[in-house]
Amino acid sequence: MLKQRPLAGSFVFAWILLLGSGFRLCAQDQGNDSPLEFKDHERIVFLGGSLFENEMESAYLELAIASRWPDRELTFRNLGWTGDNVFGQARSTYTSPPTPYQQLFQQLRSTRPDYVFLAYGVVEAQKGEAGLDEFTRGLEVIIDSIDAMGAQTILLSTIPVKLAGTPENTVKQNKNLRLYSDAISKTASKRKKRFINLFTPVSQHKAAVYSYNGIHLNEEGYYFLAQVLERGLGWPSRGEKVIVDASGNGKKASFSLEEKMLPLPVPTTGQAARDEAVFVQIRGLKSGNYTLTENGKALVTAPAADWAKGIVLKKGISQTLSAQLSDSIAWKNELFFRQYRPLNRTYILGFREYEQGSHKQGLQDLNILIGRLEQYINQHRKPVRKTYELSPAN
Amino acid sequence: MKLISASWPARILVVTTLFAAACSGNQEDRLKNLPEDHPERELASFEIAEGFEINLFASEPMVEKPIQMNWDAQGRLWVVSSTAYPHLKTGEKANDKIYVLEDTDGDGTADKSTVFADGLSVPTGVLPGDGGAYVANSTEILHLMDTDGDGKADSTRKILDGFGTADAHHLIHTFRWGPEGRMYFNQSIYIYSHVETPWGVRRLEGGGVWKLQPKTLELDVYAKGLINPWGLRFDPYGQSFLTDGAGGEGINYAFPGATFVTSPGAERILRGLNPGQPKHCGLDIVSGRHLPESWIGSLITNDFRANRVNRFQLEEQGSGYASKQMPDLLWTDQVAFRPVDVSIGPDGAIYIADWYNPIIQHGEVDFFDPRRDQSHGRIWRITAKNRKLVPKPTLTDDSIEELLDALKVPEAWTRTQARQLLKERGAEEVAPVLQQWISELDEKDPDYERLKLEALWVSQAINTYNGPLLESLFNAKSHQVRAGAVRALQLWHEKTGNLEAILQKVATDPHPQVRLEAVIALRELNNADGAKAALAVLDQPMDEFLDFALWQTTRQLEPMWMASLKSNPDFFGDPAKTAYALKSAASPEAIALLTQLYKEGQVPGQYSQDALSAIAKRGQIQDLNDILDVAIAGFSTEKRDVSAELGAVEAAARQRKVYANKQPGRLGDIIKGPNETSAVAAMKVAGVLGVKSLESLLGSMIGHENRNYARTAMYSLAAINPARAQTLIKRKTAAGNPTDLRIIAVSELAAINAQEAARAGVVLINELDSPEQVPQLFDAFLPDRGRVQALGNVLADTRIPEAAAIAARQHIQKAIPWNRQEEEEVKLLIKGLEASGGVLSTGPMSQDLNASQIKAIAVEAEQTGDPVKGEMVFRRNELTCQNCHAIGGAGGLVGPDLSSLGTSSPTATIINSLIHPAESIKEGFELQRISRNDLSELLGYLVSDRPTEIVMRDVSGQEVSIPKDNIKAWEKVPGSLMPPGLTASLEKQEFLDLVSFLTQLGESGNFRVPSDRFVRRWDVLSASDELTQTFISDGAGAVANDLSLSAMPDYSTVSGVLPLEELPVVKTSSGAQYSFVRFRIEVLTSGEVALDLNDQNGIQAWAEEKEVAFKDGKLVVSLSQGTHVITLAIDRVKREQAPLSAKLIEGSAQARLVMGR
Repeated sequence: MLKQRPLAGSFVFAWILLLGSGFRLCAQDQGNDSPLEFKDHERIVFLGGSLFENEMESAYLELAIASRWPDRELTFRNLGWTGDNVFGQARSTYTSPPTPYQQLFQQLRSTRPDYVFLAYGVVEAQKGEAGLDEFTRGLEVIIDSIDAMGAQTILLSTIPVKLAGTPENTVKQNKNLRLYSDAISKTASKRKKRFINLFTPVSQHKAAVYSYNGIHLNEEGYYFLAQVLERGLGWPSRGEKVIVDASGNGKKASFSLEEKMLPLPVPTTGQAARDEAVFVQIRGLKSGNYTLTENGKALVTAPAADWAKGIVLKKGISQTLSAQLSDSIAWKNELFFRQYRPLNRTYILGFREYEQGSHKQGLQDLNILIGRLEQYINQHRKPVRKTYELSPAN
Repeated sequence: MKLISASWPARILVVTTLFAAACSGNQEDRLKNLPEDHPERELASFEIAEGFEINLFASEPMVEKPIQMNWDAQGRLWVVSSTAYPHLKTGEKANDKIYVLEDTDGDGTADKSTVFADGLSVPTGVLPGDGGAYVANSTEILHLMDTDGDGKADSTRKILDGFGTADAHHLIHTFRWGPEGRMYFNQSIYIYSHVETPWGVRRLEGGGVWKLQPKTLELDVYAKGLINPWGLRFDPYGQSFLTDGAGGEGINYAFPGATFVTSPGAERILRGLNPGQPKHCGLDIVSGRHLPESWIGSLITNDFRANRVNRFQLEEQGSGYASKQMPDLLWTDQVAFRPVDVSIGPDGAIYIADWYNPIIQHGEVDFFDPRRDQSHGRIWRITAKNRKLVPKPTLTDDSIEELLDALKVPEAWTRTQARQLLKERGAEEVAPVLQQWISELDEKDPDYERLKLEALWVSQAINTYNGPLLESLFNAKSHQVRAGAVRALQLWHEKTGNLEAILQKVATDPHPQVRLEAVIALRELNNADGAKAALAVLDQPMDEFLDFALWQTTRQLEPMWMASLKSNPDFFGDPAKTAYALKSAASPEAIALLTQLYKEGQVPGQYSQDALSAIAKRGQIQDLNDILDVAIAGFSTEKRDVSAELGAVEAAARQRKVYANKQPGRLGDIIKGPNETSAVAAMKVAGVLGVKSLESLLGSMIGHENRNYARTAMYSLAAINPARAQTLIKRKTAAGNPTDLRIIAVSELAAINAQEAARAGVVLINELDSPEQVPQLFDAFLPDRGRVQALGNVLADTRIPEAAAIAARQHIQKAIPWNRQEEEEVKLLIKGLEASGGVLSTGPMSQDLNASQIKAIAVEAEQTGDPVKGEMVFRRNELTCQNCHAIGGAGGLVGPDLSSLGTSSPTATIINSLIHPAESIKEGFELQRISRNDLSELLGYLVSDRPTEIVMRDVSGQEVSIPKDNIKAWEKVPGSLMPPGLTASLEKQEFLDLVSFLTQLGESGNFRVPSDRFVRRWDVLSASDELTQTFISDGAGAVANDLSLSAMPDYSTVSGVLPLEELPVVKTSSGAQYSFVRFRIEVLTSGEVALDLNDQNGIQAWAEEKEVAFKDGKLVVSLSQGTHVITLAIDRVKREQAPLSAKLIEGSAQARLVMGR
């Protein structure tokens, strides 16, 4: 709900109708759990393949969770590794032991998670039906291990591909990816874990959500995925609707807002999802063009008819804050990446550590930088109160 | 230098005058006044091959720390650079750059530098193309574009990611266009990559070459292995070559599936073409009109450690090549000159990227060591004197016809750029014109067929299938064109209708290069007939490359042809082919078939050893019983040597615990038989199989006058009945037996009862003839902690002669690796020896130095060390340097080859390595510990990691193979096999001399391994009684012919000579004095081998038993394929001291000198 206060001044101000959206992105076919609520000081870990590694840069999923409770301190560790499978195959290094599989669990344990979002199956699906049992067994081992750590597992489905080389291969791959998605869903039911179906909404989504290679998501894809995730966790959308009746005056309106949480940053190339941003409808205006200012700064100019239909605010202070937050999270993610997958690992942590092992200290020191950034991130998740004024455009 | 900075943000530097001052003043004085790292001083330090000159093309700040470079079609040089290398500081944001260098006025120096991109993170490859440039950026490949024409990238597209980053100097690198428009690039040993592509996940662990179609993102592994594959180039027919920045085999010939050293899990590897060569980075192949005609086809690569640019010449040899090193193109003593890439430019000149850094070690020197240079970098340009430059091609605005005509020019640069531009113009525009262009080619043009191959590549680059063109090239007269066409077919196999028929035909091509490509292409058939067609190459001569490819194809198609073979044993239509396929196969059922074939005598002689070794590795009990039958029958009916078959039975039992059990008592006849090798092999089998019925026979042989019999009998008896063996062997340790038998008995007893053996051994020590026998006695105890303890206990209470104690103490120092020297048992043993006076003489050279003392010693060594004396110290036997380290490929292989140590390592680092060997380890020399299932351990270096076994090189340099299912744990352990304190016995000046020698290694002069193929690895015959006897009674020829005479390895000096004064001399009563030395030559193709000796005075030579005469001062001998032993008798009356050198020179045979320890 938005907090609103009538402003003093010359404006005649009738009433503002504030509506939280009851919007559902799509029906979840699994797990009608109660909305998931994170508690103060909890640690959330992303473990999987490219779906999570690619998320580090845009940080949509993390931001979606981090901004939901601006007063609760949450920390995140992203252990996504491109090409990985439930056997940690992509975590291989020249130094063995630890084997890639041991690395997987060492890395997971070292993050001390309270919640683990688990996204595997995309790589395994290439083996089709034949690899299904092996995959499920591997997945369950990871779940067992998360259970043993006293943490909660949240399973994510696979996502479909747009183009896997040829059209024929695309059909085949998507069939397999759905098969694995179903298997993950089944495992979730069996193990009584939360499951979020990404496959169906992504396959139904019409916008261009794939990156150049046709198999990974782009920025818009992650923007959309964050929304799917929020619905999957039972969270209401961030969209807020402001309805202002200006019919008393017909020429001016003003209001102030303080959103409950920051919006998801609108992708540079994409449109703001209507239900994810502030939607302003101003009725009763006399015809003509009107400009809405935010803290005195022009934001949108539109004819009265458009204001009456409603306009989505895709820029503004909240968006700026949100974009800054996203940058901070991404930089923090990069620092963590450098710590757990360091350049020159062979010489610092690997079997040639007797040569450059002194630089372990440098990796340790990253904790200080990461900690400071997390502090900064936690302090910059709150929306601020803004004053809006609508007046005829010059 | 005057710099004008302009136009932010693209940061364009315009250099108007370079070295303007060079024209005036006293050159020498002026140079002295310049800072040491000034480009002009570096320029002045260069030495260049006759007929060439060098100029500076660009230097800092126009370019910094260049790593790789490539040209665009406009003739601009794109250079990727990293100042963040080798390691980002904590929290540092990387800001590495791509520079674009231009020579706008054509004067041979760059006058414009544009920063195309910045903010990159340790980028290591750049390749212009497709409207921008592909860039290697740590985990990812990016395609950067400048869409608004300001010279700076403003659009970034991630092409692929998932490339490993565990080592900043091995990241994906060396981007090059292949002839068919695919992008090729390398990664190195510590990089483990897992890349998700639309076509599936692609993984490459360790070194190798990737092949990418950037448009469709099809990604494949083209070749695997090498330690740091750095150079990568294609010749005019599409054949590819690699160099290795950390290997030592010079030029490597690569083709699809080629697998080289260090590739994880590789069962077989290919060798490089120049074993014993320095390490190389960058590679280009000379073409075009500017450089001298005699240089066309030469490979130019950089010995960056030794600050040199090398040249190699290739010659076709079978399906591959022989490579010969030619005199260097460029060299300098300026240690910061680090040529890392080489590329011939649009003007036909050779451009060298100079990373400019005194420090090149990645791991051994601290990442943030202040001596690392972070700001300099040069591009040098080498031109041929008095030869016209190639007019700079202007291709970008050319019509399609003009671009196609550009494929006719001799410059690879122009052809590569034209192909790339044609690819970018696309099929719609290019295809129709291309067809017309082909039809108008002049059939009489000597280049006609090659141009059609070019047309084929263009068709592939624009993805337009042209079956008739492809098929017409299979009938080309040029085998290179035919081979190129078969390679192209691999890309189009799905589109070619009559694929099977074509492949069957090309597999019988008269030229082996074509057959090699056919064997590879046949994998695409993915059926049994593919294997059958591939095996047809066995009807024609084979060579190592063809054999490798055929083995790989046979392996890949194994499930298909095995199914066919099982239903039709005559599927391949020829037992030899069947045998080849089966010996190459991995499955146990294949081994069963192979065994049957072997039993029936159908395995041809040349495959029988391979077949037996396959059966030993993978055979079941039944198979080994069959082999035992063959051995028994072979002995009784054919009276032949059956040691090979028995060796297989023994190996299966010993390594895999697969015991043959069919009437093993039959071995008795072989043991009693006349053939020593068979008898000894049979004894070993009897032992490992535990044949009770042969116990008495073995027992009767433990005192055999042939000590080989005696030792084997003891060993095998101990395996069958340890209690009885102990009683019998112990008797042989007692006084009254000959000393040599007593030593053997103690050694064998040690394995059964360490306490008894220790007691007997210590008694024996007191009675030895000479302290030289001590090591042999001790060797039986040292490998095992329990035995060391037993010996230590006895020695704690018993005194032995001081000379023996000293000999033992010295031996322990060498024979026990450093990380065992601290074991309690070893300390106990040492204490006991010291009590008997076995104290190591320590010279005044302290081994306990801290960093600042090492620094001081380094300065002292640089000032007062004498490298000539140092080399003599290095060669001393007691220092054992050469047991582990080779120079120029000759010497031990346990540690790194030291040929260019001095040019790659600072003096202090070298001293540190001598004093604290465990603190810095080269790639490939990581110590590994294998724990076997029986809890025994092996410490050594990994030679190869194959699917079912690993091969290790142990401390003594021996290769040991261990089946993987026998391995309990396998880990890499930090540290070195080099014991600390090796130099402890040196006087300080000797130490300084040694250090001085080591720091000179690789520098110009007598301490640089010459490119001539000198014999470097010798066997020096000991002046034994046996030798003297043979010489006196039967003459020198008999000595040459008797390979059982005892010999010690020796090595040439760095400059390639064998100092004669070090050799033992046989003296006869008649006053004759002779020394005998041998060396080995591996002949790859039969023909005449020629050797050039520095002085033929007093030399007689034999190839095996055949005496070789001097012809025009050279030794010339006709040799068949295989390894041959050359023996030289040196008349020491005539040649008392003068050093001897022998150099392999051109002959009709293709031959290599055998190197190693």
